[in-house]
Amino acid sequence: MKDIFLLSKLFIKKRLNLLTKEDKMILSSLQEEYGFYKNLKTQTLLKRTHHYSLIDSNAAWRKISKKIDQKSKRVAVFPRKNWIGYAAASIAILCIASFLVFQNVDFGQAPAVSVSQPVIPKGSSKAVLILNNGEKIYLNPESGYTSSNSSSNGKDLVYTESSDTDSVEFNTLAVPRGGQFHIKLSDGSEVWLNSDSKIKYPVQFSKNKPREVKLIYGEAYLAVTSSAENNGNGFQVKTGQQTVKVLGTEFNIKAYPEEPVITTTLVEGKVRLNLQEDTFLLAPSEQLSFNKSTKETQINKVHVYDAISWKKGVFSFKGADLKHIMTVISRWYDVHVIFENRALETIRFTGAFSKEQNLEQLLKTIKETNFINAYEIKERQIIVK
Amino acid sequence: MIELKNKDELDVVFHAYYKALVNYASNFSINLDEREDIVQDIFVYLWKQQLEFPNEAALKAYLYTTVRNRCLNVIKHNKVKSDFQISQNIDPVEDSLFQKQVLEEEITRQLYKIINTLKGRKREIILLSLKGMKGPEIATKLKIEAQTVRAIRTQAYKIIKEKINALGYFLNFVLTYR
Repeated sequence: MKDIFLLSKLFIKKRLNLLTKEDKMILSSLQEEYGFYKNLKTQTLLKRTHHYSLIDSNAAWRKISKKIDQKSKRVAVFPRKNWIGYAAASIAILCIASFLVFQNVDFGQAPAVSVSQPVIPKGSSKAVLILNNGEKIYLNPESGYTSSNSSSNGKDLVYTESSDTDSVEFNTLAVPRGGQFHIKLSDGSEVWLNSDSKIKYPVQFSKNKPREVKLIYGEAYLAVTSSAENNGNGFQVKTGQQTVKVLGTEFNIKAYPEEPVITTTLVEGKVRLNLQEDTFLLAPSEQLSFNKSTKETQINKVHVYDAISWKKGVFSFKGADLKHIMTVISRWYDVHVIFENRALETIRFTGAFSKEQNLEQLLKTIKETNFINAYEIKERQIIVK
Repeated sequence: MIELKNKDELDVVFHAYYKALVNYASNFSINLDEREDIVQDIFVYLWKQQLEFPNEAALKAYLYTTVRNRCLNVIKHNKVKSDFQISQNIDPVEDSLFQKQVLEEEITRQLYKIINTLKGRKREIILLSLKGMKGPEIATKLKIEAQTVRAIRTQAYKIIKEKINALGYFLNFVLTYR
């Protein structure tokens, strides 16, 4: 990337006949490396500058400035409840029981680990709360938030039940990549949201209708209060074409747009799942997978822990391929993963690692298995070699 | 080491890159409002996270990469909304495309800065020479002496030279005044 910045400067110097001898040498070698340089047209680039006039950076700065000032005023006033703390102690052990023996790896090659700053921090509690009127509130441990019916310490968001049940206000909580969040809804049901997830729910549930929330995308673990405590009202979660109806139970739904399958895993109790025209009943430890493109459904017995460990501060995998593992990692550390050798995507691993460790430690653990030769961290990209 | 710990420093970085980043995002066919939101969010995030960068290039690379990633996310989600090719993964690799687009944007950014530091005749003459016109041609076009063109251009070059150095490493300013 440094080359690109240098090239841009040399381009301008060249147009103005300001190149020094040294510049010329650098330019000719860079030109060779970056073939697209010679296709650049000054005329076109000059035209592009016109677009800049349409962008009002002063107005934008005022907006940002306001947001920043607001943030520093808000102080968290709630007791710390660290729900990822449970498993913080569990240290990464990526024990290998490789199910696939991978042939093409050259074990003789010296492992190269190259790292360039900045250090990528682990994920943390953060989310954007979008109010009924569209106002966005940024939540993180440095900035709490309080309204008439909810409050947040920047890690949890808790709604209180109010007598005003006629209101049909909705809030939406979006957790970015590298984030996680916990919500307690007005009926006492709890929702844990994984990175890159978004959920919409009413601020108050109606007294005489089934309670309903919508997982717009991402992964959520729900612990739902029983219908007996809620005027007999059941609870349902909509996710795309799927509706999960429950009477009081704990379960996990994973529905990332970039993954081909939606999975619903029941931990406790009983759920009924409506999908297209079909209805499925799930028993504890059963997982329903729905393939979005083939529309196939499948119910499997699974180790519940693997499906819900993320909520306990651990990522746990059983025979998962490296591509999937890296996808999960990329969400928590907000990075992009590139496989230089695509064959590596299919190696399978079993093991667990703590979400509390930093990215480098984790990659080292994977590298030490010798199934990958090296990795490189470049800005926010990880290249697996 | 660049640390964006006080607002003035963020201000400098913001004004240096905001327009370029918003314009760069247009490569992803996202509308202007949304692009501005994306870039503004990134600056708020940058502030909140108090990230540190070893040098200006690292900061710049971070900004472009983050804009790209967020745009890809937006496209992904819009796609889902329209229920189109849900399982299709957007390939984040396309490295050389990314580099090419960043190069175009960086050049545009610097051209814009240069053009806007110059005024009147200096600006006219530099614009024409950037377009590839030679001194005499410019003189004919602007109906002035070729000698005058040369003189004005020399002055303009002097300003630009200073500007280019400042542009490439404008953050030197941030670093030295601390």
